[in-house]
Amino acid sequence: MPNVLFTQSCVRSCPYCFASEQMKESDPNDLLSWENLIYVSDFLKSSGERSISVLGGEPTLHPDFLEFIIYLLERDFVVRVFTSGIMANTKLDKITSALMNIPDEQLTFIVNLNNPSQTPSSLAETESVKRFLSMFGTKVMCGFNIYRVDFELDFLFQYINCFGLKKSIRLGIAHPIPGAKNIYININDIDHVIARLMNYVPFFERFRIRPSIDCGFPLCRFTDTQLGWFTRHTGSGAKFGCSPVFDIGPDLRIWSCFPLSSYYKRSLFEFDTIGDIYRFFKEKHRMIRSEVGGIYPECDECSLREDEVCSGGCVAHLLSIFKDEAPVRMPVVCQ
Amino acid sequence: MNPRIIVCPYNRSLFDRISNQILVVQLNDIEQIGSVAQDVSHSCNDLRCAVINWPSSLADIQFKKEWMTVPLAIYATEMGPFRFIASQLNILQQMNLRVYLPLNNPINYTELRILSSLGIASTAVFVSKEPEWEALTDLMTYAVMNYYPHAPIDPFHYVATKFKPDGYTGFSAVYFSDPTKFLHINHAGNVSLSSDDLQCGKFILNDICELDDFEIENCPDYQEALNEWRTFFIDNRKCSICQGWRVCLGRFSQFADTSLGCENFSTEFLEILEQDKMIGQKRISLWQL
Repeated sequence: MPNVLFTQSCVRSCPYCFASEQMKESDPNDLLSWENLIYVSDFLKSSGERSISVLGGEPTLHPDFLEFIIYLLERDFVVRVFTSGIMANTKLDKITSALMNIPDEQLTFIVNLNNPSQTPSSLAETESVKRFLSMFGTKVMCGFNIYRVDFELDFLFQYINCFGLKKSIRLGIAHPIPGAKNIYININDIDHVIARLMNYVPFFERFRIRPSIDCGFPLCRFTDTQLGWFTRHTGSGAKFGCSPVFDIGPDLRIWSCFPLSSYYKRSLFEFDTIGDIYRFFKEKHRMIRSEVGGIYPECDECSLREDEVCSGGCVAHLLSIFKDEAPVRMPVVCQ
Repeated sequence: MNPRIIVCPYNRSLFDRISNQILVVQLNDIEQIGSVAQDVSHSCNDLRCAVINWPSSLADIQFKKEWMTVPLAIYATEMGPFRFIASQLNILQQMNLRVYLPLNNPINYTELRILSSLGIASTAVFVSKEPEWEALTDLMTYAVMNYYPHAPIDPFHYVATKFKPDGYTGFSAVYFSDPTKFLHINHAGNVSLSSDDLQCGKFILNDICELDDFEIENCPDYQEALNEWRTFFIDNRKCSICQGWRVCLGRFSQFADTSLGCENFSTEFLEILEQDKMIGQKRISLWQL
């Protein structure tokens, strides 16, 4: 599912932000236009895509946010909006009255939440998020980015129960932005992260909440017992891929994902279909992985990686390795 | 005479004076949409469409389900807030409707595209103000290239469908002002070749009842209107040497002396149409079942 950025500015400054590099390069006033929205919609439709993810920055900052969402729904897209949930009451009221009755299957908000005690934010922000969650309840899935090994999920269980949110948590792991300085989970700490995550198994079970792990987790770091638990409690098990999803900026430039936003950036106008874009970025990923198989030395020989059961971790880690070493790679790879 | 479409005001007694004609009826009030089809039908005429000049945005109209079967041309000032349009889309998309928006308002370049992408046919109305040529070219490209199916945007769609590589293609018919297709009558039954002629009292017939016996081809005013394009060449005006002439016929001549935008636009329009035609000609004719 492609991601479309409505804006390039955000109301928060998360320490792990993997969009920061992209946003630093962009004009904060760069907003998606109606013309570009129509072009993107036509492009996706002509490729047979029926789903779209809406990102920012903070997408609700776009002055036409509501109109854009209604337009996408009218074009029969299944829409996922990634938001902080932080907005003025007047805007929230307007959005609520317009979108409240859209079926949950057609519109979902993924609210990226930070633990108020570990990633402090102002009381006003926290209250604003809570208002958003209480308004949209069943339309909201929590998203949480793990950027420190001592992360805590308790507040999420509380939010889900308190506001009647979807019984699922989208768990991402903070990845490095090659050449930039964001906070992320070091490769050596991934074992600790997984161990800590599995400590929450009793909570997931007790509250009947399903974890959904995002890209970049390496398969080999989970034990068979842990994988069995994921399979039993998520229905389909966990995914360990790192394939290009691709983001579309307001100016219709595209890139593989935020951590790789400066790597082989292209324009949507250069491609005819989504398939062409996937193939393009997949080839770029393959180029990187032909230099280094995955984030661990054993990835090179791993049959599960070769069979694409696991991607060998996030490709941004590999590019970061290239940036920090002597220029021994082919220039085309570490562009 | 050849059958012409008659553009007339909404006047039942006028309808009764003519029969077996195709009518474009100009409404005074939006509520007349509900009765126009029946009134025209009762007078033994056919309704091509009803035209309403709405002095506000399209979103300000409360569309009714009973209007769905009435062929409509609505001239509005703009689309208006998208939220209000979206709330009526289920009706709008089923209506036999063409929305006309003037290009004096820059937002309308975008709104024509929005409507079209949602399956509502639309038409750009050129006004005395010079168009924003770049935006117009973008709109034309969207209308003609058809990257993904959408409702027609005229006059571009009209020209694209009528375009002949070895001839001229005008688009005044989109605005009911082509004398080869339309005649205009007023409440008194006077007949003119255009609405402008009608307003300034330049009639070709004083009474609509004379229409049946009238040979329009022998009418000097008609011949003059048909050959009006020749004046561009006789007067050696700039449009006569423009490549894009074949798809604009001097429609933007008032801007030609001061701006290159009109020439660039028309030329690009022509190039796209010719390219499209060439691609069409290269298509292999499939074996038949």
